[in-house]
Amino acid sequence: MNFNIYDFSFYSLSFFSVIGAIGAVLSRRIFYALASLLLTLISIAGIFILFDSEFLFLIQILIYIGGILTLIIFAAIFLNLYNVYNDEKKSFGYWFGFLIAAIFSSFMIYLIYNESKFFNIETERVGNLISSKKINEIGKELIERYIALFHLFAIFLLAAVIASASLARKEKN
Amino acid sequence: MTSISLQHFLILSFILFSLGTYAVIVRKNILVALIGIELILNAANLNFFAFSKFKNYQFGELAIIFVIIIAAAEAAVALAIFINLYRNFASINPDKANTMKE
Repeated sequence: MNFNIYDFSFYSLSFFSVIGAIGAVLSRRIFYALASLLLTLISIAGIFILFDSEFLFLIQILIYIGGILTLIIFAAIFLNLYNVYNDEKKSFGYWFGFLIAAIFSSFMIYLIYNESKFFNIETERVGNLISSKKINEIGKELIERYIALFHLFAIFLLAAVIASASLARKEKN
Repeated sequence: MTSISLQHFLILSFILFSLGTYAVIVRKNILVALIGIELILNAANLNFFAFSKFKNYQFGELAIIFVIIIAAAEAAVALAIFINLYRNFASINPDKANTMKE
């Protein structure tokens, strides 16, 4: 096994994304959690650009970090969450969720790691990867082949905007 | 070339998925639950990406675009719901919103 720069980049990016996810889940302060989520999202964008898929890199940065993460930060500021919640007791739900996550994840990682023939996953290398689509090919395919889906999601986004505006409106009296 | 295979992607995305599930089930802060949902959607994106790379799954890269659209819409509506929740219960602990018991 020759260890080269691709391997090193993939392993370090996945390490940082897992570290960021752990921080986002376990942190007691909301802004530290959001910064950790930023680390995770940037690492995943790095994985996209490492396997030369520039369009996904772009929309991961633009929409996820520029749009969604900013929206969540806005919500945290708007709801006055500077000092967060210390009313977390180790309830039934805590151990239940911990148990479910631990058992399920260890079982699935065992399955993926050992019995990959069960899923018909043979280990293919990056050398014979399928090259990813360029931006103009994606646009063409979106307009020609998946035009109905495209319009459906446009209507969906419009409905989401109207719904959020009408939900957040302050009612008279 | 490299020795990264499909299994590496699947293990990484499963770790992210289970951390997101943990956040959704356990945390009492509803914003952290939203962060967990984002983690779950990112794990799904990684799986779509890996299968479009290694298995010639043509729809994969377009599916990521649609997943991101869903995530944006969900974040917008969730923000509005949180503002209403905070206005009515003065807290974003979902356990405080228990008026259906009465």
